[in-house]
Amino acid sequence: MDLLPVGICIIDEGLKVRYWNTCLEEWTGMPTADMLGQDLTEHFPGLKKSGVIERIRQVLQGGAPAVFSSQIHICLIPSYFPDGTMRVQRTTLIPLNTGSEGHFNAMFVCEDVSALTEQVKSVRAMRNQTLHELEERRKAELALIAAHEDLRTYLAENTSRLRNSLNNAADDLKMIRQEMEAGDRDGVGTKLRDVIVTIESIEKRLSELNEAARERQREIRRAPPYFIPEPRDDGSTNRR
Amino acid sequence: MCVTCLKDEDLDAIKELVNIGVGRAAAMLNEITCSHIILHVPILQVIRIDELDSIGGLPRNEGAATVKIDFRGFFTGTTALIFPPESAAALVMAITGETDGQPELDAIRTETLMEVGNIFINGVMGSIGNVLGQQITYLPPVYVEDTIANIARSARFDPDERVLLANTHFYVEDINVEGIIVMILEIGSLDILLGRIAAVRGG
Amino acid sequence: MMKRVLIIDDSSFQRKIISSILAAEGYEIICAENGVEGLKNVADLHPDMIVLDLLMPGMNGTEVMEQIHRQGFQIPIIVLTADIQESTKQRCIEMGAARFINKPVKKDELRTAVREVLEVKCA
Repeated sequence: MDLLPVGICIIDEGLKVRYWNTCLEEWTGMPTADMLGQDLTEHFPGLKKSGVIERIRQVLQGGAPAVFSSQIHICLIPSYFPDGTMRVQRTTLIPLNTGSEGHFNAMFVCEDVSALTEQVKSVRAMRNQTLHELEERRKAELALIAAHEDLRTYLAENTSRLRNSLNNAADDLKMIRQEMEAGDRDGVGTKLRDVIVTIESIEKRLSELNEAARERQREIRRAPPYFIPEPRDDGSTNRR
Repeated sequence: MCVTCLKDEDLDAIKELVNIGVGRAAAMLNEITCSHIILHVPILQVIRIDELDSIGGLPRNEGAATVKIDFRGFFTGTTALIFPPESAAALVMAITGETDGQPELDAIRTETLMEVGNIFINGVMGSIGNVLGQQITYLPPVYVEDTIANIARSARFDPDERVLLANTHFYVEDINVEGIIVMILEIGSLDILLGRIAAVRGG
Repeated sequence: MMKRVLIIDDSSFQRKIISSILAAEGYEIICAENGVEGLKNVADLHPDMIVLDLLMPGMNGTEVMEQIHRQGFQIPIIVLTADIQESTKQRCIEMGAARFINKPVKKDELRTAVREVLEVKCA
Protein backbone atom coordinates (compact mmCIF):
# COMPACT_ATOMS: atom_id res chain seq x y z
CA MET A 1 0.00 0.00 0.00
CA ASP A 2 3.03 2.23 0.42
CA LEU A 3 3.55 2.26 -3.32
CA LEU A 4 0.01 3.25 -4.21
CA PRO A 5 -0.43 6.78 -5.59
CA VAL A 6 -3.21 7.46 -3.07
CA GLY A 7 -3.08 8.47 0.55
CA ILE A 8 -3.91 5.57 2.85
CA CYS A 9 -4.40 5.71 6.59
CA ILE A 10 -5.88 3.09 8.89
CA ILE A 11 -7.31 3.99 12.27
CA ASP A 12 -8.62 1.76 15.03
CA GLU A 13 -11.83 2.18 16.97
CA GLY A 14 -10.05 4.55 19.36
CA LEU A 15 -9.29 6.76 16.33
CA LYS A 16 -5.56 5.99 16.73
CA VAL A 17 -3.45 5.74 13.57
CA ARG A 18 -2.39 2.18 12.81
CA TYR A 19 -1.03 2.78 9.31
CA TRP A 20 0.14 5.88 7.46
CA ASN A 21 1.50 5.37 3.97
CA THR A 22 4.35 7.05 2.13
CA CYS A 23 1.99 9.05 -0.04
CA LEU A 24 0.39 10.67 3.03
CA GLU A 25 3.85 11.29 4.49
CA GLU A 26 4.75 13.14 1.32
CA TRP A 27 1.47 15.04 1.05
CA THR A 28 1.23 16.15 4.69
CA GLY A 29 4.90 16.24 5.64
CA MET A 30 4.05 14.14 8.69
CA PRO A 31 6.33 11.10 9.04
CA THR A 32 4.80 7.70 9.67
CA ALA A 33 6.81 7.28 12.87
CA ASP A 34 5.23 10.45 14.28
CA MET A 35 1.70 9.53 13.26
CA LEU A 36 1.49 5.91 14.46
CA GLY A 37 -0.51 5.65 17.68
CA GLN A 38 -1.72 9.26 17.45
CA ASP A 39 -5.39 10.26 17.55
CA LEU A 40 -6.07 11.24 13.94
CA THR A 41 -8.77 13.73 14.90
CA GLU A 42 -6.30 15.62 17.12
CA HIS A 43 -4.05 16.19 14.12
CA PHE A 44 -6.93 16.99 11.78
CA PRO A 45 -9.70 18.63 13.85
CA GLY A 46 -11.94 18.90 10.76
CA LEU A 47 -12.64 15.21 11.29
CA LYS A 48 -14.45 16.07 14.53
CA LYS A 49 -17.29 17.84 12.72
CA SER A 50 -20.55 16.09 13.55
CA GLY A 51 -21.34 15.12 9.95
CA VAL A 52 -17.89 13.56 9.59
CA ILE A 53 -17.11 11.90 12.92
CA GLU A 54 -20.53 10.26 13.03
CA ARG A 55 -19.89 8.65 9.65
CA ILE A 56 -16.37 7.60 10.66
CA ARG A 57 -17.88 5.90 13.71
CA GLN A 58 -20.48 4.15 11.51
CA VAL A 59 -17.62 2.63 9.50
CA LEU A 60 -15.72 1.70 12.67
CA GLN A 61 -18.84 -0.17 13.74
CA GLY A 62 -18.70 -2.20 10.52
CA GLY A 63 -21.14 -0.07 8.53
CA ALA A 64 -21.07 0.43 4.78
CA PRO A 65 -18.13 2.27 3.16
CA ALA A 66 -18.47 6.06 3.34
CA VAL A 67 -17.68 8.48 0.54
CA PHE A 68 -16.61 12.06 1.25
CA SER A 69 -16.77 14.11 -1.92
CA SER A 70 -14.36 16.88 -2.83
CA GLN A 71 -17.16 19.39 -3.45
CA ILE A 72 -18.61 19.08 0.04
CA HIS A 73 -15.42 18.56 2.05
CA ILE A 74 -12.50 19.55 -0.23
CA CYS A 75 -10.50 16.99 1.78
CA LEU A 76 -10.59 15.12 5.08
CA ILE A 77 -6.82 14.98 5.64
CA PRO A 78 -5.63 18.38 4.46
CA SER A 79 -2.42 18.69 2.48
CA TYR A 80 -0.94 21.39 0.29
CA PHE A 81 0.98 21.68 -2.95
CA PRO A 82 4.34 23.49 -2.91
CA ASP A 83 2.60 26.65 -4.21
CA GLY A 84 0.38 26.66 -1.11
CA THR A 85 -2.85 25.56 -2.78
CA MET A 86 -4.85 22.84 -1.09
CA ARG A 87 -4.89 19.35 -2.54
CA VAL A 88 -8.51 18.53 -3.48
CA GLN A 89 -9.35 15.00 -2.44
CA ARG A 90 -12.06 12.38 -2.70
CA THR A 91 -11.94 10.17 0.37
CA THR A 92 -13.43 6.73 0.78
CA LEU A 93 -13.64 5.15 4.18
CA ILE A 94 -13.72 1.37 4.24
CA PRO A 95 -14.33 -0.88 7.26
CA LEU A 96 -11.60 -3.45 7.88
CA ASN A 97 -12.35 -6.51 9.91
CA THR A 98 -9.75 -6.82 12.66
CA GLY A 99 -10.36 -10.53 13.04
CA SER A 100 -11.76 -9.91 16.47
CA GLU A 101 -15.54 -10.22 16.29
CA GLY A 102 -17.40 -6.94 16.29
CA HIS A 103 -14.21 -4.87 16.08
CA PHE A 104 -13.29 -2.87 13.01
CA ASN A 105 -10.62 -0.52 11.82
CA ALA A 106 -11.33 2.10 9.19
CA MET A 107 -9.17 2.67 6.14
CA PHE A 108 -9.06 6.15 4.62
CA VAL A 109 -8.33 6.09 0.89
CA CYS A 110 -7.58 9.65 -0.22
CA GLU A 111 -7.46 10.28 -3.97
CA ASP A 112 -5.98 13.49 -5.30
CA VAL A 113 -8.64 14.92 -7.65
CA SER A 114 -7.08 18.39 -7.92
CA ALA A 115 -6.19 17.94 -11.59
CA LEU A 116 -9.58 16.43 -12.39
CA THR A 117 -11.30 19.29 -10.57
CA GLU A 118 -9.32 21.83 -12.58
CA GLN A 119 -10.08 20.01 -15.83
CA VAL A 120 -13.78 19.82 -15.01
CA LYS A 121 -13.78 23.51 -14.09
CA SER A 122 -12.18 24.46 -17.39
CA VAL A 123 -14.54 22.19 -19.33
CA ARG A 124 -17.44 23.83 -17.48
CA ALA A 125 -16.02 27.27 -18.29
CA MET A 126 -15.59 26.32 -21.97
CA ARG A 127 -19.07 24.91 -22.07
CA ASN A 128 -20.55 28.01 -20.44
CA GLN A 129 -18.57 30.21 -22.90
CA THR A 130 -19.87 28.18 -25.84
CA LEU A 131 -23.43 28.41 -24.54
CA HIS A 132 -22.96 32.16 -24.09
CA GLU A 133 -21.68 32.50 -27.66
CA LEU A 134 -24.55 30.42 -28.97
CA GLU A 135 -26.98 32.70 -27.18
CA GLU A 136 -25.25 35.77 -28.61
CA ARG A 137 -25.34 34.18 -32.04
CA ARG A 138 -29.04 33.48 -31.69
CA LYS A 139 -29.72 37.07 -30.65
CA ALA A 140 -27.58 38.42 -33.52
CA GLU A 141 -29.34 36.14 -35.98
CA LEU A 142 -32.72 37.41 -34.84
CA ALA A 143 -31.48 41.01 -35.15
CA LEU A 144 -30.19 40.34 -38.68
CA ILE A 145 -33.42 38.69 -39.70
CA ALA A 146 -35.30 41.75 -38.41
CA ALA A 147 -32.89 44.10 -40.24
CA HIS A 148 -33.24 42.06 -43.41
CA GLU A 149 -37.01 42.25 -43.14
CA ASP A 150 -36.86 46.05 -42.63
CA LEU A 151 -34.63 46.39 -45.68
CA ARG A 152 -36.91 44.23 -47.79
CA THR A 153 -39.90 46.37 -46.82
CA TYR A 154 -37.91 49.54 -47.47
CA LEU A 155 -36.82 48.25 -50.90
CA ALA A 156 -40.35 47.18 -51.82
CA GLU A 157 -41.77 50.58 -50.87
CA ASN A 158 -39.03 52.49 -52.72
CA THR A 159 -39.07 50.41 -55.89
CA SER A 160 -42.84 50.91 -56.00
CA ARG A 161 -42.37 54.68 -55.67
CA LEU A 162 -39.61 54.63 -58.29
CA ARG A 163 -41.83 52.67 -60.67
CA ASN A 164 -44.59 55.25 -60.21
CA SER A 165 -42.18 58.13 -60.78
CA LEU A 166 -40.72 56.47 -63.88
CA ASN A 167 -44.22 55.78 -65.24
CA ASN A 168 -45.13 59.42 -64.65
CA ALA A 169 -41.96 60.59 -66.40
CA ALA A 170 -42.57 58.21 -69.32
CA ASP A 171 -46.21 59.37 -69.63
CA ASP A 172 -45.09 63.01 -69.59
CA LEU A 173 -42.45 62.37 -72.24
CA LYS A 174 -44.99 60.51 -74.45
CA MET A 175 -47.36 63.45 -74.12
CA ILE A 176 -44.59 65.90 -75.01
CA ARG A 177 -43.73 63.84 -78.10
CA GLN A 178 -47.39 63.70 -79.18
CA GLU A 179 -47.79 67.47 -78.68
CA MET A 180 -44.59 68.17 -80.59
CA GLU A 181 -45.73 65.89 -83.41
CA ALA A 182 -49.04 67.81 -83.43
CA GLY A 183 -47.06 71.08 -83.61
CA ASP A 184 -48.22 72.22 -80.21
CA ARG A 185 -45.09 73.46 -78.44
CA ASP A 186 -46.63 75.91 -75.99
CA GLY A 187 -46.53 73.82 -72.83
CA VAL A 188 -43.49 71.69 -73.74
CA GLY A 189 -41.00 73.70 -71.70
CA THR A 190 -43.09 73.43 -68.51
CA LYS A 191 -43.71 69.75 -69.05
CA LEU A 192 -40.01 69.09 -69.66
CA ARG A 193 -39.16 70.87 -66.39
CA ASP A 194 -41.69 68.60 -64.59
CA VAL A 195 -40.03 65.56 -66.16
CA ILE A 196 -36.60 66.81 -65.08
CA VAL A 197 -37.92 67.28 -61.49
CA THR A 198 -39.33 63.75 -61.58
CA ILE A 199 -36.02 62.34 -62.86
CA GLU A 200 -34.13 64.27 -60.16
CA SER A 201 -36.36 62.80 -57.48
CA ILE A 202 -35.73 59.35 -58.97
CA GLU A 203 -32.00 59.98 -58.86
CA LYS A 204 -32.28 61.12 -55.22
CA ARG A 205 -34.23 58.01 -54.26
CA LEU A 206 -31.68 55.82 -56.04
CA SER A 207 -28.91 57.49 -54.04
CA GLU A 208 -30.83 56.72 -50.84
CA LEU A 209 -31.21 53.11 -51.91
CA ASN A 210 -27.51 52.94 -52.67
CA GLU A 211 -26.74 54.31 -49.19
CA ALA A 212 -29.12 51.79 -47.59
CA ALA A 213 -27.33 48.97 -49.39
CA ARG A 214 -23.94 50.28 -48.17
CA GLU A 215 -25.29 50.51 -44.59
CA ARG A 216 -26.39 46.89 -44.71
CA GLN A 217 -22.93 45.92 -45.92
CA ARG A 218 -21.47 47.75 -42.91
CA GLU A 219 -23.90 45.95 -40.56
CA ILE A 220 -22.80 42.62 -41.93
CA ARG A 221 -19.15 43.56 -41.35
CA ARG A 222 -19.98 44.48 -37.76
CA ALA A 223 -21.80 41.14 -37.20
CA PRO A 224 -19.94 38.15 -35.64
CA PRO A 225 -17.79 36.34 -38.23
CA TYR A 226 -20.24 33.48 -38.71
CA PHE A 227 -22.71 35.88 -40.40
CA ILE A 228 -20.37 37.34 -43.02
CA PRO A 229 -21.45 36.01 -46.39
CA GLU A 230 -18.86 33.90 -48.13
CA PRO A 231 -18.40 34.54 -51.88
CA ARG A 232 -19.73 31.68 -53.94
CA ASP A 233 -18.14 30.45 -57.16
CA ASP A 234 -20.90 32.18 -59.13
CA GLY A 235 -19.99 35.48 -57.48
CA SER A 236 -23.08 35.64 -55.25
CA THR A 237 -22.80 35.31 -51.48
CA ASN A 238 -23.90 32.63 -49.07
CA ARG A 239 -24.32 32.97 -45.30
CA ARG A 240 -21.90 30.79 -43.39
CA MET B 1 -40.81 -17.95 7.96
CA CYS B 2 -41.82 -17.37 4.35
CA VAL B 3 -43.00 -14.55 2.13
CA THR B 4 -46.58 -15.76 2.01
CA CYS B 5 -46.62 -15.62 5.82
CA LEU B 6 -45.35 -12.03 5.87
CA LYS B 7 -47.55 -10.22 8.35
CA ASP B 8 -48.48 -6.57 8.45
CA GLU B 9 -46.58 -6.20 11.70
CA ASP B 10 -43.43 -7.50 9.99
CA LEU B 11 -43.71 -4.97 7.19
CA ASP B 12 -44.48 -2.33 9.79
CA ALA B 13 -41.29 -3.10 11.70
CA ILE B 14 -39.12 -2.94 8.57
CA LYS B 15 -40.85 0.28 7.58
CA GLU B 16 -39.92 1.75 10.94
CA LEU B 17 -36.30 0.68 10.55
CA VAL B 18 -36.16 2.36 7.13
CA ASN B 19 -37.79 5.43 8.67
CA ILE B 20 -35.19 5.67 11.41
CA GLY B 21 -32.32 5.30 8.93
CA VAL B 22 -33.76 7.90 6.56
CA GLY B 23 -34.38 10.26 9.46
CA ARG B 24 -30.76 10.03 10.57
CA ALA B 25 -29.54 10.65 7.02
CA ALA B 26 -31.95 13.56 6.58
CA ALA B 27 -30.43 15.23 9.63
CA MET B 28 -27.00 15.06 7.95
CA LEU B 29 -28.36 16.33 4.62
CA ASN B 30 -30.08 19.12 6.53
CA GLU B 31 -26.66 20.17 7.86
CA ILE B 32 -25.11 20.06 4.40
CA THR B 33 -27.88 21.91 2.53
CA CYS B 34 -29.06 24.13 5.41
CA SER B 35 -32.58 23.22 4.28
CA HIS B 36 -35.30 21.30 6.08
CA ILE B 37 -35.93 17.84 4.64
CA ILE B 38 -39.55 16.75 4.41
CA LEU B 39 -39.82 13.04 5.03
CA HIS B 40 -42.59 10.66 4.06
CA VAL B 41 -43.68 7.34 5.44
CA PRO B 42 -42.06 4.50 3.45
CA ILE B 43 -44.17 2.13 1.41
CA LEU B 44 -43.21 -1.53 1.59
CA GLN B 45 -44.14 -4.14 -0.97
CA VAL B 46 -43.13 -7.69 -1.76
CA ILE B 47 -42.96 -8.00 -5.53
CA ARG B 48 -41.25 -9.88 -8.33
CA ILE B 49 -38.17 -8.23 -9.86
CA ASP B 50 -39.90 -7.95 -13.23
CA GLU B 51 -42.74 -6.00 -11.59
CA LEU B 52 -40.36 -3.16 -10.77
CA ASP B 53 -41.07 -1.70 -14.23
CA SER B 54 -44.72 -1.18 -13.43
CA ILE B 55 -44.47 -0.05 -9.81
CA GLY B 56 -45.74 3.48 -9.31
CA GLY B 57 -43.59 6.14 -7.73
CA LEU B 58 -40.31 4.98 -9.27
CA PRO B 59 -38.69 7.03 -12.04
CA ARG B 60 -38.87 5.25 -15.41
CA ASN B 61 -36.42 7.72 -16.93
CA GLU B 62 -33.11 6.03 -17.73
CA GLY B 63 -31.34 9.29 -16.95
CA ALA B 64 -32.30 9.03 -13.28
CA ALA B 65 -29.20 9.50 -11.13
CA THR B 66 -28.83 6.49 -8.88
CA VAL B 67 -26.38 5.70 -6.12
CA LYS B 68 -26.46 2.11 -4.95
CA ILE B 69 -24.71 -0.11 -2.51
CA ASP B 70 -24.92 -3.86 -2.88
CA PHE B 71 -24.54 -6.16 0.07
CA ARG B 72 -23.68 -9.80 -0.13
CA GLY B 73 -23.34 -12.89 1.99
CA PHE B 74 -25.88 -13.97 4.59
CA PHE B 75 -27.77 -10.73 3.93
CA THR B 76 -28.08 -9.97 0.23
CA GLY B 77 -29.64 -7.09 -1.58
CA THR B 78 -29.25 -3.61 -2.95
CA THR B 79 -30.14 -0.26 -1.48
CA ALA B 80 -30.33 2.67 -3.84
CA LEU B 81 -31.10 6.36 -3.75
CA ILE B 82 -32.62 7.61 -6.98
CA PHE B 83 -32.84 11.24 -8.03
CA PRO B 84 -34.90 12.35 -11.01
CA PRO B 85 -32.39 14.17 -13.31
CA GLU B 86 -33.62 17.70 -12.55
CA SER B 87 -33.55 17.01 -8.80
CA ALA B 88 -30.02 15.61 -8.99
CA ALA B 89 -28.68 18.74 -10.66
CA ALA B 90 -30.61 21.11 -8.39
CA LEU B 91 -29.36 19.33 -5.28
CA VAL B 92 -25.72 19.52 -6.33
CA MET B 93 -26.08 23.20 -7.21
CA ALA B 94 -27.68 23.86 -3.81
CA ILE B 95 -24.96 22.00 -1.93
CA THR B 96 -22.09 23.67 -3.73
CA GLY B 97 -23.72 27.08 -3.97
CA GLU B 98 -23.02 27.21 -7.70
CA THR B 99 -25.20 29.63 -9.56
CA ASP B 100 -23.42 30.05 -12.88
CA GLY B 101 -23.82 27.92 -15.92
CA GLN B 102 -25.93 24.90 -16.61
CA PRO B 103 -26.51 22.21 -13.99
CA GLU B 104 -24.89 19.38 -15.95
CA LEU B 105 -23.80 16.33 -13.99
CA ASP B 106 -20.07 16.05 -14.57
CA ALA B 107 -17.54 13.83 -12.78
CA ILE B 108 -17.17 16.13 -9.78
CA ARG B 109 -20.88 16.74 -9.36
CA THR B 110 -21.77 13.05 -9.58
CA GLU B 111 -19.24 12.48 -6.81
CA THR B 112 -21.25 14.89 -4.65
CA LEU B 113 -24.45 12.99 -5.44
CA MET B 114 -22.63 9.81 -4.57
CA GLU B 115 -21.91 11.21 -1.10
CA VAL B 116 -25.54 12.22 -0.55
CA GLY B 117 -26.68 8.77 -1.72
CA ASN B 118 -24.08 7.17 0.48
CA ILE B 119 -25.34 9.08 3.53
CA PHE B 120 -28.93 7.91 2.99
CA ILE B 121 -28.07 4.34 2.15
CA ASN B 122 -25.73 4.04 5.12
CA GLY B 123 -28.44 5.53 7.34
CA VAL B 124 -30.93 2.88 6.25
CA MET B 125 -28.43 0.03 6.32
CA GLY B 126 -27.09 1.17 9.70
CA SER B 127 -30.58 0.96 11.09
CA ILE B 128 -31.12 -2.52 9.63
CA GLY B 129 -27.64 -3.62 10.69
CA ASN B 130 -28.34 -2.64 14.31
CA VAL B 131 -31.28 -5.02 14.39
CA LEU B 132 -29.45 -7.80 12.55
CA GLY B 133 -26.58 -7.62 15.01
CA GLN B 134 -24.39 -9.41 12.51
CA GLN B 135 -21.82 -8.04 10.10
CA ILE B 136 -23.15 -7.21 6.63
CA THR B 137 -20.63 -7.35 3.78
CA TYR B 138 -20.92 -4.26 1.63
CA LEU B 139 -19.58 -3.47 -1.80
CA PRO B 140 -18.37 0.08 -2.45
CA PRO B 141 -21.03 2.60 -3.49
CA VAL B 142 -21.60 2.96 -7.21
CA TYR B 143 -23.13 5.79 -9.26
CA VAL B 144 -25.23 4.82 -12.29
CA GLU B 145 -27.77 6.54 -14.49
CA ASP B 146 -30.47 3.97 -15.00
CA THR B 147 -33.86 2.79 -13.78
CA ILE B 148 -34.02 0.72 -10.62
CA ALA B 149 -35.59 -2.09 -12.67
CA ASN B 150 -32.54 -2.21 -14.95
CA ILE B 151 -30.22 -1.99 -11.97
CA ALA B 152 -31.95 -4.91 -10.29
CA ARG B 153 -31.89 -6.89 -13.54
CA SER B 154 -28.19 -6.24 -14.04
CA ALA B 155 -27.50 -7.48 -10.51
CA ARG B 156 -27.66 -11.11 -9.61
CA PHE B 157 -31.38 -11.11 -8.94
CA ASP B 158 -33.49 -13.60 -10.81
CA PRO B 159 -36.41 -11.86 -12.63
CA ASP B 160 -38.87 -14.28 -11.04
CA GLU B 161 -37.47 -13.79 -7.61
CA ARG B 162 -39.69 -12.03 -5.10
CA VAL B 163 -38.05 -9.19 -3.28
CA LEU B 164 -38.92 -6.65 -0.65
CA LEU B 165 -39.19 -3.15 -2.06
CA ALA B 166 -39.03 -0.34 0.46
CA ASN B 167 -39.80 2.91 -1.28
CA THR B 168 -39.67 6.25 0.44
CA HIS B 169 -39.54 9.83 -0.80
CA PHE B 170 -38.03 12.91 0.71
CA TYR B 171 -38.10 16.53 -0.38
CA VAL B 172 -35.51 19.16 0.31
CA GLU B 173 -37.54 22.22 1.24
CA ASP B 174 -36.68 25.49 -0.53
CA ILE B 175 -34.97 23.78 -3.45
CA ASN B 176 -37.74 21.32 -4.29
CA VAL B 177 -35.51 18.29 -4.66
CA GLU B 178 -36.97 14.81 -4.63
CA GLY B 179 -35.15 11.61 -3.70
CA ILE B 180 -36.42 8.06 -3.69
CA ILE B 181 -34.87 5.35 -1.58
CA VAL B 182 -35.35 1.80 -2.69
CA MET B 183 -34.18 -1.29 -0.88
CA ILE B 184 -34.36 -4.60 -2.66
CA LEU B 185 -33.88 -7.56 -0.43
CA GLU B 186 -33.63 -11.19 -1.39
CA ILE B 187 -36.31 -13.22 0.26
CA GLY B 188 -33.82 -15.39 2.16
CA SER B 189 -32.36 -12.23 3.63
CA LEU B 190 -35.83 -10.93 4.42
CA ASP B 191 -36.43 -14.08 6.47
CA ILE B 192 -33.28 -13.42 8.46
CA LEU B 193 -34.34 -9.82 9.10
CA LEU B 194 -37.83 -10.87 10.17
CA GLY B 195 -36.37 -13.41 12.55
CA ARG B 196 -34.26 -10.73 14.21
CA ILE B 197 -37.19 -8.32 14.38
CA ALA B 198 -39.30 -10.98 16.05
CA ALA B 199 -36.55 -11.48 18.62
CA VAL B 200 -36.35 -7.72 19.33
CA ARG B 201 -40.13 -7.52 19.63
CA GLY B 202 -40.04 -10.49 21.94
CA GLY B 203 -42.30 -12.48 19.64
CA MET C 1 -53.52 7.27 41.00
CA MET C 2 -52.07 5.57 37.93
CA LYS C 3 -51.00 8.07 35.29
CA ARG C 4 -52.44 7.53 31.85
CA VAL C 5 -50.12 7.82 28.83
CA LEU C 6 -51.44 7.96 25.27
CA ILE C 7 -49.09 6.65 22.57
CA ILE C 8 -49.86 7.88 19.06
CA ASP C 9 -47.72 6.07 16.50
CA ASP C 10 -48.64 4.41 13.21
CA SER C 11 -46.06 1.70 13.80
CA SER C 12 -47.34 -1.26 15.79
CA PHE C 13 -43.68 -2.21 16.31
CA GLN C 14 -43.01 1.10 18.04
CA ARG C 15 -46.29 1.07 19.98
CA LYS C 16 -45.41 -2.32 21.36
CA ILE C 17 -41.88 -1.30 22.38
CA ILE C 18 -42.97 2.01 23.95
CA SER C 19 -45.92 0.37 25.70
CA SER C 20 -43.75 -2.31 27.23
CA ILE C 21 -41.23 0.26 28.51
CA LEU C 22 -43.87 2.51 30.08
CA ALA C 23 -46.17 -0.24 31.34
CA ALA C 24 -43.22 -1.63 33.28
CA GLU C 25 -43.00 1.78 34.98
CA GLY C 26 -46.57 1.45 36.17
CA TYR C 27 -48.31 3.77 33.72
CA GLU C 28 -51.67 3.01 32.19
CA ILE C 29 -51.16 2.83 28.44
CA ILE C 30 -53.60 3.76 25.69
CA CYS C 31 -52.56 3.40 22.04
CA ALA C 32 -53.73 5.09 18.86
CA GLU C 33 -52.45 4.13 15.43
CA ASN C 34 -53.14 7.44 13.73
CA GLY C 35 -53.75 11.10 14.44
CA VAL C 36 -57.53 10.98 14.20
CA GLU C 37 -57.81 8.09 16.63
CA GLY C 38 -55.31 9.85 18.89
CA LEU C 39 -57.38 13.04 19.00
CA LYS C 40 -60.50 11.04 19.81
CA ASN C 41 -58.65 9.37 22.69
CA VAL C 42 -57.48 12.75 23.94
CA ALA C 43 -61.08 13.99 24.08
CA ASP C 44 -62.61 10.80 25.48
CA LEU C 45 -59.96 9.45 27.81
CA HIS C 46 -58.12 12.58 29.02
CA PRO C 47 -54.58 11.16 29.19
CA ASP C 48 -52.00 12.76 31.50
CA MET C 49 -49.39 12.73 28.81
CA ILE C 50 -48.94 11.93 25.10
CA VAL C 51 -46.03 10.21 23.36
CA LEU C 52 -46.39 11.33 19.77
CA ASP C 53 -44.79 10.18 16.51
CA LEU C 54 -44.42 12.74 13.73
CA LEU C 55 -44.20 10.73 10.52
CA MET C 56 -47.62 9.21 10.15
CA PRO C 57 -49.81 8.76 7.08
CA GLY C 58 -52.86 11.01 6.96
CA MET C 59 -52.67 13.43 9.87
CA ASN C 60 -49.02 13.79 10.89
CA GLY C 61 -47.71 14.51 14.37
CA THR C 62 -47.42 18.28 14.01
CA GLU C 63 -51.02 18.45 12.80
CA VAL C 64 -52.07 16.41 15.85
CA MET C 65 -50.24 18.88 18.12
CA GLU C 66 -51.98 21.80 16.42
CA GLN C 67 -55.38 20.19 16.90
CA ILE C 68 -54.71 19.39 20.55
CA HIS C 69 -53.77 23.02 21.24
CA ARG C 70 -56.66 24.36 19.16
CA GLN C 71 -59.10 22.25 21.14
CA GLY C 72 -57.72 23.71 24.35
CA PHE C 73 -56.18 20.59 25.89
CA GLN C 74 -53.22 21.26 28.20
CA ILE C 75 -51.56 17.87 27.96
CA PRO C 76 -47.76 17.58 27.89
CA ILE C 77 -46.47 15.98 24.71
CA ILE C 78 -43.25 14.04 24.21
CA VAL C 79 -42.37 13.85 20.54
CA LEU C 80 -40.68 10.55 19.69
CA THR C 81 -39.62 10.54 16.07
CA ALA C 82 -37.22 9.27 13.42
CA ASP C 83 -37.12 12.77 11.94
CA ILE C 84 -34.21 14.00 14.06
CA GLN C 85 -33.42 17.16 12.11
CA GLU C 86 -32.60 20.17 14.27
CA SER C 87 -35.18 22.18 12.28
CA THR C 88 -37.87 19.61 13.13
CA LYS C 89 -36.91 19.69 16.80
CA GLN C 90 -37.10 23.50 16.80
CA ARG C 91 -40.56 23.46 15.21
CA CYS C 92 -41.84 20.96 17.78
CA ILE C 93 -40.43 22.90 20.73
CA GLU C 94 -41.98 26.10 19.34
CA MET C 95 -45.29 24.25 19.11
CA GLY C 96 -45.07 23.42 22.80
CA ALA C 97 -43.60 19.90 22.88
CA ALA C 98 -42.27 19.14 26.35
CA ARG C 99 -39.49 16.87 25.05
CA PHE C 100 -38.10 15.77 21.69
CA ILE C 101 -36.66 12.25 21.62
CA ASN C 102 -34.98 10.49 18.72
CA LYS C 103 -35.90 7.04 17.51
CA PRO C 104 -34.85 4.33 17.97
CA VAL C 105 -36.20 4.67 21.47
CA LYS C 106 -33.77 4.18 24.33
CA LYS C 107 -35.43 2.75 27.42
CA ASP C 108 -33.74 4.99 29.98
CA GLU C 109 -34.15 8.16 27.97
CA LEU C 110 -37.88 7.59 27.53
CA ARG C 111 -38.46 6.55 31.15
CA THR C 112 -36.63 9.62 32.46
CA ALA C 113 -38.39 11.99 30.07
CA VAL C 114 -41.86 10.68 30.96
CA ARG C 115 -41.12 10.84 34.68
CA GLU C 116 -39.76 14.38 34.49
CA VAL C 117 -42.55 15.69 32.32
CA LEU C 118 -45.22 14.23 34.61
CA GLU C 119 -43.46 15.64 37.67
CA VAL C 120 -43.50 19.12 36.15
CA LYS C 121 -47.19 18.70 35.30
CA CYS C 122 -48.08 17.70 38.86
CA ALA C 123 -45.92 20.37 40.50
